[in-house]
Amino acid sequence: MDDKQIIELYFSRDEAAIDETDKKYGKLCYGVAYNLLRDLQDSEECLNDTYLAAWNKMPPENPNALSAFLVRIVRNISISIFRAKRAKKRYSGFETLLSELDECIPSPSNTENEVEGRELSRIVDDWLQGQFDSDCAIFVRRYFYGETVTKIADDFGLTPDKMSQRLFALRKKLKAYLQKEGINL
Amino acid sequence: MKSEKLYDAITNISEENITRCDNAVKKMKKPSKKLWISWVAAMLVVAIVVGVVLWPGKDSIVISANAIFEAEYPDRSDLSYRPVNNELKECLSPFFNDFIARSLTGAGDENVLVSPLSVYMAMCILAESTSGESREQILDVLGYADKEILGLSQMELLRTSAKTIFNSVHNTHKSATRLLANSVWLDKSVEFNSSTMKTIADNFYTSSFSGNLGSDEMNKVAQSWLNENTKNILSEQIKDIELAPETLYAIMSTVYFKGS
Repeated sequence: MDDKQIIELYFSRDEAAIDETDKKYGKLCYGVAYNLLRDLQDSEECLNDTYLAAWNKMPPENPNALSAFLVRIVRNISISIFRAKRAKKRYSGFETLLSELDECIPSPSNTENEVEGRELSRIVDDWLQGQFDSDCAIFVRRYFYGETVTKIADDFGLTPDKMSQRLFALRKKLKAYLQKEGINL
Repeated sequence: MKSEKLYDAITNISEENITRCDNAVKKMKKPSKKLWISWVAAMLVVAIVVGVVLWPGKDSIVISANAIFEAEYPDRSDLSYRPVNNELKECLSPFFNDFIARSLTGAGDENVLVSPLSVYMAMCILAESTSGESREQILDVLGYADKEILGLSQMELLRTSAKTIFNSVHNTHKSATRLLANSVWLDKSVEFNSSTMKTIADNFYTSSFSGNLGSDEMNKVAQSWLNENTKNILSEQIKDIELAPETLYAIMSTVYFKGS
């Protein structure tokens, strides 16, 4: 079933929408949740909450790309789980990803303004636009889909070490770009 | 935590960038197209195994690449001046003057090192590899648009002038060695016209290779080619030169100079 038909099911409040979403994107959504949380039970919980959130959001929302829409929900729910439970539990996927993203944070200076969420997304988007397709894909797969370095390296025909180097170079480039834009996080 | 703020920002990146990623992934998973080679070309194509690559100080690495055509560089070692036709000079001057002026300005406090000759050769190769509007635009930039010189068509003029310039510079004399080398690199998924590759080899002294561009293996072949044509003096810089995996076509041009 194509995305448009699945969205129509949501709009007509047909519960088959959830089954069709699960059939088409269940694996993707579960994969993103598991990459971040590295916990089977929490990932299941995240997936169920994602379907519920999708049901509540559509309508009125009518996404152009259903997969990206669902992954956004997964990411939001995953980080909520991480924030709520991190005192009691270790989430190795998140911890690794966030420590990598830490390297992109520019040092603060007096002239900078604290940037808000939407504006920061726009700036990251602009930066991505200036990257090669392959670098954009590598960055999005690692930091949006949360895929492992080994998996991405395998798909690109590179060794994990080479891929780590490439990701390191991308983080450095993003940091320099944020610095240039005078961003304070 | 600041990294969480960045995480949230990445969550809301545009669908456009996510689609770009998805398309890049789809492209990687797409089965390679079969290379089209005519029977004439098949006789000319030499499948070579670049057995032990010249890798100074490193273990030998066995890698393979397909050489489509290998350029035969002129073996010229006399230092006599080779005059270039005045009409050709006039035709080419605007490009070189404009290019040098643009290259040397706008870099702020940074030093600029650029080889207009390499850029010119690369653009000639690109003009030969393209057609229609793209070719017209390149010819326009190079100054060949609407030119009628020596009774040659624009493309004949391009080939003649590139050959003339190459021959006026390339010299193997030991007191003033000036070596030019060009190559084109095609991804194995790309169908190519072998007669175009031959024209490029004959007129622009350009070797052509085919393989899985962006792979570690092909990067090493390309680095080896660059090292060979720059006599290993740039090996430190060259080891970091890699083609992106989505590259379908790349042009490399080197200039080596040694005077005494």
